[in-house]
Amino acid sequence: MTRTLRLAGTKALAMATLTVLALAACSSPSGPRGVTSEEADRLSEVFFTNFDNEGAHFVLNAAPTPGTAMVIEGEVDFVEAQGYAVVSATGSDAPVHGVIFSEAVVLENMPQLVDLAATAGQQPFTWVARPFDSTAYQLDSLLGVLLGLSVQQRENPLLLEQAGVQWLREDAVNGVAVDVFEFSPQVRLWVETGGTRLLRFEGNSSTLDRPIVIDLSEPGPVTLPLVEEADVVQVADVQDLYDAVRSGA
Amino acid sequence: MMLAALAVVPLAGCSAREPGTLTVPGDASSIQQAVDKAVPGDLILVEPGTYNEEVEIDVDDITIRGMDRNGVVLDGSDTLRNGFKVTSDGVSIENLTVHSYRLNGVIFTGSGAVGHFEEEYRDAPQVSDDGTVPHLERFRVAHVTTYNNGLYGIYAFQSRNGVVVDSYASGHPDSGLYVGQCDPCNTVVDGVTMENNAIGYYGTNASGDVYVVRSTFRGNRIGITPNSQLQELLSPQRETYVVGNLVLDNDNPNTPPVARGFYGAGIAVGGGVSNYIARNYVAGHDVYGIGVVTLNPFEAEGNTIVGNVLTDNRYDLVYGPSSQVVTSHGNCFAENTFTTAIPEDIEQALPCDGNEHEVTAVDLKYPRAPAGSDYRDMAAPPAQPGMPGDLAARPGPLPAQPQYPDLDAIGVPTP
Repeated sequence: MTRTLRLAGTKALAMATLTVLALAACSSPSGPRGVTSEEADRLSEVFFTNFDNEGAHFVLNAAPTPGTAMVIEGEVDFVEAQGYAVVSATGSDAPVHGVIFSEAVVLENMPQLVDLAATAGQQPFTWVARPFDSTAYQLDSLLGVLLGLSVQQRENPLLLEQAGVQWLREDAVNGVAVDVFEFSPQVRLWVETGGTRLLRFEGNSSTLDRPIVIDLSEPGPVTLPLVEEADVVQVADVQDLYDAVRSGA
Repeated sequence: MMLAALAVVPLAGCSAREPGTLTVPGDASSIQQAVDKAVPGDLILVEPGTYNEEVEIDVDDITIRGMDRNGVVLDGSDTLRNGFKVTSDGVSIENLTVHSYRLNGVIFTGSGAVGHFEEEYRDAPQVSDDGTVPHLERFRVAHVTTYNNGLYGIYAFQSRNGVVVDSYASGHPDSGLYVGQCDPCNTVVDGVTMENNAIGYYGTNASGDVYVVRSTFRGNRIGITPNSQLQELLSPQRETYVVGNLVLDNDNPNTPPVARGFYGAGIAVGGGVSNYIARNYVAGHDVYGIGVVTLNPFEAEGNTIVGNVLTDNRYDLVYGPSSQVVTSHGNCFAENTFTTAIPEDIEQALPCDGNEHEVTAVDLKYPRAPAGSDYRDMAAPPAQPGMPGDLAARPGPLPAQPQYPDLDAIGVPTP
């Protein structure tokens, strides 16, 4: 008797749960739809909020070209437009294990290059410095997207609303409730529910076949690691070896 | 209980009253409460004090007037969005100060939800109004000070038949004053001072009887810019009269930067059409005094630059079309006082004779805009002159169309 009751009770609970789920599904707003004025106001602040928060921890996942993959995880300073990260990549960026970057200069840690240079009699170093060049290096191109997530000025919310920016759905990123918005087929943003904090950026190429996903967390100021001048070699001083390592020769 | 509630409803429904005057605080504890009580024709008088509130106005034909321009202060504390957001017709905002809102100090907007516009309006400017574009009608801003708001000081969007007079804006990371996306705008800007903003006057796709006259644009990154842009409807911009203004030193690095990087010009006609730029005094600009330039993808066309006085600019006058344009494209320069220009013989190369002239391509180099300041750290402006006259006098409704200035009576101002 007791057992039967318990089963019945369980079934009743299950049914109640199903009912709640069904209700939730019915009452949950569905997208895509144009953003409301309130949502446009929030969106107008998203990149400015990154600037205002000064920096963040980031994890960038990308497939820069078909068959390659890159994970860059580190800290970004959105005010000075610089940062540092560990890199795990396939393809031409595979030799890079770490990076310290600004919009002007990229310092790469490439153990294979360090070893080759030591064999060739070079002074030991940790970092090789080269100019930032988003047209020549996939790594820089992705870092450029990251740095572009911060601007010193709000967007005009009237124009965002008018431009047809879409609310897609509710979601969660790392346990934080978010709204997902589509700026264009190339750009989607995961923005804290009721707030202006960007939790995830999804970018794409114009052909929509190379996604870039950047997760941001731990907003706040960032301090770059100090680098001793003696630990840095200019790329021109090891150009042949550098090119050889990057080309996989 | 139910009966009591029912009884209240018809009474409230019958409560329409004759317009009169409401005071804050007095008849209402906040400006918003007074607006909520207002009927068309009301004057809301605001006593000196600091008001931490966003005021949303959807009642037609009301006037909100501070009793002391410098003492009635709406403070958004970098938290609230807009000081005044007006979506109704015939509203006047007068004699008060609005600062530190995240978005705008004062905004009038005729834009609602997405889809107000049919596709055909996106590119085809309406030369005559056929009544289908839902503009906000009739607005007035007078003796208002705005500073350090996060977008614009005073903003009229898809609004027309308005006036902005004797007002002031500083410290905005976009423009102090913005008239945008209207056609015809029928809007008069007279006697304003815009300083230490990213841009003084910004007129994107603001077309048809826009008057910017007898005003001062000083120490911004750009002074005045009627311009065409794709990201707003009703492009291209046309028919703004910029006459008799003092345009000084709009290359101030100690201003909030604008995202698009504009810097160092007095008056920039960016891809605008049929604008009339006359009898302005333009001095002290790192790039140029008056430029008629392309703004991708729009070419400047049919603009007249006449009788201006220019001095101490890197180039006083510039004609800078894209490389696709090899003629004057209807643009002309005459009777200006100047020493430097691109092309050097600009008044001979582009005379106002009604003919097309071939023009040699120019390659104007723009300097990189300096980093600038956080708008929230800009200094508060000095006290500004208050509204004269009897402040308690209730005004009549705003006219269907503002009085346009007599341009012929406006000469070159003295610095």
